[in-house]
Amino acid sequence: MPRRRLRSLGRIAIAFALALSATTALAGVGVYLALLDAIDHQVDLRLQGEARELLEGGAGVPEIVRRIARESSERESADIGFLLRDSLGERIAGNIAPAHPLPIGVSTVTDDAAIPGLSRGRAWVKQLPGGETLALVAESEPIDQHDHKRGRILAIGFGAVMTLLLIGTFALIRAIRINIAAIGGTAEAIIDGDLRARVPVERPGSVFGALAVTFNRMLDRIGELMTGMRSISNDIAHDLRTPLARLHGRLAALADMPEAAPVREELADAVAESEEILAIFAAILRITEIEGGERRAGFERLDLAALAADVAEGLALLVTESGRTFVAPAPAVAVPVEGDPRLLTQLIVNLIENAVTHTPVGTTIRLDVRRDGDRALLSVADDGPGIAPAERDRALRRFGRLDASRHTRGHGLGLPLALAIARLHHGTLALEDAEPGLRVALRLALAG
Amino acid sequence: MQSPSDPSPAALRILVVEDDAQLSALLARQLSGLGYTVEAVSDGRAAITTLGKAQFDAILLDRLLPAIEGVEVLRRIRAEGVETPVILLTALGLTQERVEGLEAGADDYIVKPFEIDELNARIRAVLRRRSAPAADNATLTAGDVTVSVLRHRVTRAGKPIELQKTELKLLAELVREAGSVLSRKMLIERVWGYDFVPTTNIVDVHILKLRQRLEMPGLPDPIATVRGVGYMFRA
Repeated sequence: MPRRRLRSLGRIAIAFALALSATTALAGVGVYLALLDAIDHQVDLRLQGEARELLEGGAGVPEIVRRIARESSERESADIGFLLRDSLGERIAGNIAPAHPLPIGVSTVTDDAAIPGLSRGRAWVKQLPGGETLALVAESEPIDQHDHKRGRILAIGFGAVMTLLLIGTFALIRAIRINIAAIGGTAEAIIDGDLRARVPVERPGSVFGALAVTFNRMLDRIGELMTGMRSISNDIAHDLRTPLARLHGRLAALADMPEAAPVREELADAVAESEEILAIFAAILRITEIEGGERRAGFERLDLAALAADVAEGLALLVTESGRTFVAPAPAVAVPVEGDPRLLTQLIVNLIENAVTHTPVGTTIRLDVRRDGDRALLSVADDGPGIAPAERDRALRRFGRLDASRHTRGHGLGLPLALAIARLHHGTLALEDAEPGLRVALRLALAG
Repeated sequence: MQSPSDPSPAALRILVVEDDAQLSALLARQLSGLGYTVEAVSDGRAAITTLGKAQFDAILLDRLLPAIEGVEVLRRIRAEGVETPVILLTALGLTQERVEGLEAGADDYIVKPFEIDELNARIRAVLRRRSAPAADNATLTAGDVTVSVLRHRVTRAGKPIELQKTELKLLAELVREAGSVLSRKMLIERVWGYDFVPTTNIVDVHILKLRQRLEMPGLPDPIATVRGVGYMFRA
């Protein structure tokens, strides 16, 4: 999930860069065209003004020729090209010789006209009353070789902007990635049970720093709540277990008195019940301890197959004497895992005890440990009534005893405790169909 | 419940360090009832002072004490060279606590609530271990039963008896402590190595089997059931 999110971040950046380039290019073209248009307009106005001066007062051809000569030498209008032709197209006066005739009216002149020093310009052409044509041409390029130079300027500028933009975008993505990874890593650690994990805060003033600070404050709050809950269980343990223990002690002492003979059985039941309540406390505290994650400090490399064989040895008699068949093959290959041997022992004991408690006499219980790909698979299967798929989740929940087992022994915390131990080991505990019966499968990573 | 080989409790002085006044009073009454001489203090500082003045045979030390914590009291008295056996009392029984307590020099550890007989069995066990440490593991004998753990061999009245591994470990434990009561919890810890209490009657099932295996015509049952506590091998 986080990796996909990070990849989409890259996609967003690329899309953003593409959209930005397109917008920049469009804007560049627009500005360029508008600029040319504005210059053309400016040049047209100038040519019209110049023409008005040439033709002022209804000047005849000789006067126009004289005025052309004057204007050509004046600094203000020296850059304008003039051409006066007679009705047959013969040149009368002027300082340009376009390669092709220029159309009447205003038009754009390009290289094709072969006018020296002009690659783009505007022409203003008018037919005079005597049939002569007067043409005025002026450059409309702001500078020489404008398009070429402008292209280069644009390319350099655009390239610089894009480079900067890409560097910026990737720096931003990197920063986001690092910060998301830091938050994600912390969240994973919390999920794993390390409630003290916090996001490192490098610059509290930055956006990410502020986010990390907020995230950490949230974790602090969760931690406080968890500590509160834990101290409640500890308080319950301390404040309720002690009086319960006294009660239990008094009941036991009472049962031992000679005067108690008539009610001895009742008293024994009461003692047994108080013991069960105390066992529930013990199991709750055990689960709380395991979920805290501190037990990982005691992990060691061990052979799950050998461990299971030891447990099987210790429990075989219990299963067979209860009228059930126990099948636990001797381990063939080592199944190395990292774990807490005492807790894994408790897990296996719980699963076997669970199978004994919740199946009818005559059931066969199978313990099996094997390698399953890159995982270790330990399973305890029975051919008893099993658990319906819809009820399996509940069976793993604390106090989620199923109705069918409500009247059997045990406090209903065996499977939740096994689940907590599996999770502590980064493993899974699944209730599966053994066809018929129930199979509880523990899957752990094989130790390398 | 006591074996003939154990010294009379009257000669044994126990220091109880417990801040819960009611529990402390109950403990003192129950231990006195068993014949021990009991002195009780309610905090760690008083415990250290008392230990500086008088000799005790065993100390029951609550883990959660005001002012100085139980484990800290233990560290200090061990540092001062007090060798008296210490049994830590704890409300929670978390593994981490247990390990910490044993590392600080506790001889045993008992989780509240406990029955007085369970406590008595454990007091007896730590005293025995102090007086006769490192019993020979190779061959254990009590009455007419001999257990050779290393060679996995058991005889009763000279006749060999076939036992499963767990049954043999259980018998060895009972024979080693013959004449003393071993509680079910103690057996679970020592024979099965569990640091939790199973929900099934695993100890009783094995004892029953052991009795069947050891049964011989004309010979008495060598294992005595101590109601509400556990079992004892008759010495």
